Amino acid sequence: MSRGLLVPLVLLTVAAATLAAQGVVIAPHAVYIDARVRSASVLLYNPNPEPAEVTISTFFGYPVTDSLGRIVLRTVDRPDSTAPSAAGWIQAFPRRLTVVPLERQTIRLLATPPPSLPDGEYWARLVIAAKGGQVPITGVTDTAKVKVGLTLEVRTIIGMAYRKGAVHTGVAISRLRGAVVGDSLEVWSRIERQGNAAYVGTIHGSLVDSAGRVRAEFRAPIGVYYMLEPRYAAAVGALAPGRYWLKLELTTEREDLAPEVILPSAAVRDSVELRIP
Amino acid sequence: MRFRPLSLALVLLGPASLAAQGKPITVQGVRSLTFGAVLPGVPRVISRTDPVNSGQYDITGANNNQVQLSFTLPNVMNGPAGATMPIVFGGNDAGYSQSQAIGSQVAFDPKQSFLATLNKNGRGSVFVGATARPTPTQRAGSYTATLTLTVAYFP
Amino acid sequence: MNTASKLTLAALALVVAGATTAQAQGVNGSITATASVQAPITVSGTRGLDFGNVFPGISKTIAVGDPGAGLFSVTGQASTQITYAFTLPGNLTFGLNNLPISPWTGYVNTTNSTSGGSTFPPSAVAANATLSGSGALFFFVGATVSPPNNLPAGSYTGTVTLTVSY
Repeated sequence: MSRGLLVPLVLLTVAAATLAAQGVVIAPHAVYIDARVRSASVLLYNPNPEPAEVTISTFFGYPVTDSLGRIVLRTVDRPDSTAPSAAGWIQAFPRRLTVVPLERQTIRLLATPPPSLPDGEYWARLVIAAKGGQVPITGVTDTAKVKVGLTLEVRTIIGMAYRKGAVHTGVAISRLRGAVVGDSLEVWSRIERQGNAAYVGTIHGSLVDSAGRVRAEFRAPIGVYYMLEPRYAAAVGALAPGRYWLKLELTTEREDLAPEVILPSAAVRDSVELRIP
Repeated sequence: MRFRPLSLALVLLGPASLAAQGKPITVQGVRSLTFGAVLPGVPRVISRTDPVNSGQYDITGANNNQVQLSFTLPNVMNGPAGATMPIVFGGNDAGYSQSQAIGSQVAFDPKQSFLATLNKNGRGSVFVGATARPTPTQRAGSYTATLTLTVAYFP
Repeated sequence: MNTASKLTLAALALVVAGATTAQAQGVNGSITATASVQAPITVSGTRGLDFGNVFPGISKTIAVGDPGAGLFSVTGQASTQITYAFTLPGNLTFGLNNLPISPWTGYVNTTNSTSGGSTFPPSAVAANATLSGSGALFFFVGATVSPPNNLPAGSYTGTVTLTVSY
């Protein structure tokens, strides 16, 4: 290969590589604002070699479960006066910015709640939309004459909670049930929030045999804003016929959140017998 | 007992003579070394010239006196539930300023002792930076550690 | 040496001893190093959907398993359920000219691979997925472009948006 041909090929490869990833690192993934401070911040970090254009917006929404037990976000465009929405009075600054490569930028969140706001927890969702540079359009111009390229944009939605006065939380478990379907243990339950703040914690389920051995288990972060009926699945091996215990536990332990933002609550447990014929 | 007043006078003269050489030596931590928000897996470097986040000690003592500076440095910061985060000090991460100005420092290795001379008013400042190296799985929460500066003086 | 002189020397000795003691001593001061770790989430457009050369009158499909498939990646807390939705263009545009792009195909996996995961139809309807035990999730996106015979030459562009609710 001649040196003259080698150089353009190398340059093309480098260009494609440097324009590859687009998006920003966002931390924390859940924002808590204390009414005594009325402000918080979100850190954006651009790990990519291209600048990222970022826009910030807010809306009201909270997680619910659908009929299949999947946790999805319910968006409320026009929350009524009874909804604990903070979307109308939490503002982000700046709302448009460019995060240069390998640099950090801070988004300030300022709350200006109504003066007569009762004690409690109020929610909003923060939308961080990040758009990178134009994706390189490949193609041989001289022969194709039609070049096609798609720009990638990502929107990340994280939770915000504004806490005023005494806030407390808890959960109640009911309708715990399970079944072994193929090679999976499927677990359903109804989890209702107690208190006046969202329950943020960890759910841990396990299937225990008569000898006390754990035959299947799952563990996942969970946020209960009103009520959830989630379905969880865990891999399980072949089970001998007999009696097993399906156990479910919710705790307010979360390693991904700072301990000071966690509202502690006593662990809640439930269990049912599961018979394998 | 006629000798006693003379002896007492000499004893009293001792501290007075030391005071005449300069002020009692003090070292005071005046600003914490602050990494702020840190992302797992992303090192956070604080320069000793960072006016907001670098650590600072102020030293007072005898005018133009020479002092030896030495640090007791942590290897980790301690966080929630026993979690730790490595903290690293480079050979250029400490600085001494006779004028107590952050923009006018003489760099030194905080892992080695360093001889410094207080200014004509018996003052000086030490600035320190470091690098926090959170692991990719670093647990969320607040982390702290203590940096101690020991100042030995030579009257 | 009389008694007075002895006492004077003793007093001097005390003073010198005091100075010697002071010389051996150091004083210290402490400051605190503080950091606050915040668990992040990252949603990235990792690889653009690349059609390469496109010729008028000839449809071209990029499948999810092709090297040119678009790739989004999500990293966050392990085992977290997320909701995702796509905003997809019906046409790529060059000025007032349209290049139809449809249908779209998708593949979601907890590893950066198009095996072991599951297909999905990318759409604006929110769907649900769970991050892996190490907190990773990957979306592969493919599509078909159908250039008309009379498609004017030019650079046709559009935007694919992935929205992830955490």
